[in-house]
Amino acid sequence: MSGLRAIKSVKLVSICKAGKVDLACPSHKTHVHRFREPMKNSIQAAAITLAVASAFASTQARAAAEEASTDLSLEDLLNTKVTTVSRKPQSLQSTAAAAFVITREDIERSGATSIPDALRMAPGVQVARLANNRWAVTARGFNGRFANKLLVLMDGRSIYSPLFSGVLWEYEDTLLDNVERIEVIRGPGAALWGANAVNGVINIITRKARDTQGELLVAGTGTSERGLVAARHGGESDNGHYRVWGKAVESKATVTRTGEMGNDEWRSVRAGFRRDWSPAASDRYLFSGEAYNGSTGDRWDVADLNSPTGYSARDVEQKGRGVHLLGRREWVLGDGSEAALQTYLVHDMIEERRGSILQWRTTFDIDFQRRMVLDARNDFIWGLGYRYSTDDVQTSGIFSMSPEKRHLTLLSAFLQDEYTLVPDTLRVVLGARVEHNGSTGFEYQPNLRMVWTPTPSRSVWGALSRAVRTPSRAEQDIQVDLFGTPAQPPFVPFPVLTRNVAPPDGTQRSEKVKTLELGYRQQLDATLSFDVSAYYSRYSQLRSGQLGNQYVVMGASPYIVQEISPASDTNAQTHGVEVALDWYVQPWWRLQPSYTYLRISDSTDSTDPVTLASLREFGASEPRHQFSLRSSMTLGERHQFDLWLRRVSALDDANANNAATPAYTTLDARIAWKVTPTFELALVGQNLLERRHAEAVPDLLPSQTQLVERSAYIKARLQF
Amino acid sequence: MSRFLRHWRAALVAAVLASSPPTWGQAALSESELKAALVFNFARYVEWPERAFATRESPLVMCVVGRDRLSAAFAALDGRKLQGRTVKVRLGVPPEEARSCHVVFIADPAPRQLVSTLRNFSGQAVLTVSDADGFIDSGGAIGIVPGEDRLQFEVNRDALDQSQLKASSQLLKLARAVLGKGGGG
Repeated sequence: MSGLRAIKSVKLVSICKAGKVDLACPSHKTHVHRFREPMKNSIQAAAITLAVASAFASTQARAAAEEASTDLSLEDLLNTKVTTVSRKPQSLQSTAAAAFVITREDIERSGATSIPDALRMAPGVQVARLANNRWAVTARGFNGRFANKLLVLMDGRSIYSPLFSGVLWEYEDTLLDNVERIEVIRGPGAALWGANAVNGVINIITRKARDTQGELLVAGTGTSERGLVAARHGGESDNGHYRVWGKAVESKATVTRTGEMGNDEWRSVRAGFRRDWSPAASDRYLFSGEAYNGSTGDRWDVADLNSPTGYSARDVEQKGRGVHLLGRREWVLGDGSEAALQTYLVHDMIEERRGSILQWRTTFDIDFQRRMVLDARNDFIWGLGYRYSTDDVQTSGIFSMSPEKRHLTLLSAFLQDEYTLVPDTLRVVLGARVEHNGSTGFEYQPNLRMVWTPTPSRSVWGALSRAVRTPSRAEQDIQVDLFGTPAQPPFVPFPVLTRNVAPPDGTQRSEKVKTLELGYRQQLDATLSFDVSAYYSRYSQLRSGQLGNQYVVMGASPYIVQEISPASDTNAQTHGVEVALDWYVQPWWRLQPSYTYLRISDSTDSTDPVTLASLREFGASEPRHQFSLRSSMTLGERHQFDLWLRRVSALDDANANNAATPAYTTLDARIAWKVTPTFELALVGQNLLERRHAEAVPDLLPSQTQLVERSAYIKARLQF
Repeated sequence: MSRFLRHWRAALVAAVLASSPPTWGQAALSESELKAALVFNFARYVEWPERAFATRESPLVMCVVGRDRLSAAFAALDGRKLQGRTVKVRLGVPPEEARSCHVVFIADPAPRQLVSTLRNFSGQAVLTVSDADGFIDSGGAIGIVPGEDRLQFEVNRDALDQSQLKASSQLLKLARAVLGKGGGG
């Protein structure tokens, strides 16, 4: 405690010594100089005088600051330190959606080394680290390795995999220093963003090339992340700027619940570029690209009828390679309307080294948007999109994909009108998207939003929306041998192989959701703001399984095949509350608590034992309470001290053979030291409270539960 | 003993200062005042065409378009001298009525309204400034952007040209980035 006080007093002095802070300082000077004398006589008297005087000082200080501000030169102003530079887009205050922004600074100060770990900062988002190289990430429930209800875009490019319906986070990484911000929008965002934005949309936005000029070198090493090396160069080009960058990471394996070493090493190398240029005042272009090569390990429990348990553990190595190019033009037309045209091409490959799966995919996407402010009240946006994705999937062993090649065509159109009922006070947003895809045909996704902003610092919003999730390529066409069960004579004469089969072509349906949301935001004063949202969602036609055919395969060692075929007669409801607070306790100390409450309940008319069993997965993806508290302290000019406390409540048991995941509380800490203006060192400790803990049990592909271990890393950053 | 006392005193001062009302903190580090001061200073480095002023004595009109988050800070600039003229500050001006202003600060715009707001000033000798995200990309002249712990600014030279405003090389030199012809920076 006395340490803290000492820090406060040191800070006070340092503020007023820093000559450049003329704007900020007069008030401090007023206090310090004027009241130093009486303190010599009586501390108590001084304290009282101070308390009284400080009430008057603010007006004096303001007057002094105003006098000073116009007399300062531009150079002086640019050198004036601002303790709370608001980085949040102001428009966030009046958004009619549950939006949260994670800035680059937030990422840096959180100590997160990957995008999924950074997403833990957002309320309403569930992140579970399944191993050192695998994450389960969702918003508002239904989490899993291939959590399929969250759409993720990086600079406007969808990174939602059409193969598995979900994001393969082990391949989706970037240089975190390139990230400008991550916008997390919970709730259905399909009207604007398209199918699969069922529970939310995440937009990862990288910095403009002109904001990453000069050189950057980053190197780090730690107990879990064995090595990180990154470099970036930014320069000028005709009418604009560019950057080129590269990054390599390697992390070591964790342990399983039984104490064995896991097989989850992760190595990844990636490089990219971005060029922004602007040939005219409101005509801008973006061209970017990236290539990566990654390798991750995994251990699957593969069905094995010769094993007494019915399965055997197999170490696999999954490799991924990919390249993409993206171009975008944003311009203003003669009539004042805005237009944006974006196109990208992605080519990627995923391979399991033993040949159980090899996927090649090429995706081409083109998207056009136009915004027209018709009059003072109507603000129209419409857009058209086309996506073509073609793949070639070869399988062996437990997987069997048929047909091997398939292409997907997605056509979409959307229209949204933002209508101002009362200027600056009441707005209604009405929008809808129509999509057509090859597997489920037309999908219609409307939404209605309303936001009331009685004062600039307060807003109330509500939304009613509908979204769908379209079936993935794997859900349509894959057959998987799930697990074996040994023979139990005399009732079961042969071993049983349980096999997930693909549905007949054209019988697949989309999952659907209807959501009602309400939210309230308030900026209480310059130092404190809060945001609360609540929702109720009804899901229908959720995909599950049901008992299918049963037959005996004769041969040298005969066995029974029990098929599980897809069903979509499960319904669920979720409701929850998300609260986020942002409080500058002191100009140098920021606290950001958040709390998330989530409930999932399910219902089905089915009496099928497999359908009923698959309902258990919902409970296993539902941490009822999540709490996060971040503390960021800026100590003087050169030091930062950050703490991040998280608590996630227990998860139910999804499979009878695996244990439930207990609740965990964990703490990360970071100390950063700016050795020189260009060189910074950071020491980060993660998961400090426990030696190791589990965050979730792997779903879908049977594999072992891996634990997250206490770890630490040190990182050096040179920027010039 | 005296050393202990000194430390104790320092701690007490710190504690009292820390517990004083939040307005205290605002006065000390007001971002709004800094932004207003920056806008005032940009105007020092910009030359308006003759026709922008009716007479030699005409005031230099600074307008704030949009909500009043920064109004108080701007109000304090009223009556100050700039380029030999008196600064006249007008607050809460509707965009379509701000064409006669010399400097327009666009406060708190919704991104969707930025372009239509800016259109009001196309071809007018108006220096547009804002702290909105991507302001110069939308055709604004000077954008105030957050740096690490300081404020910085970016200039769109094409937008200045279209408004027939001449920016001094000093201004361009201090900018974090310059968009438009003649290359980036």
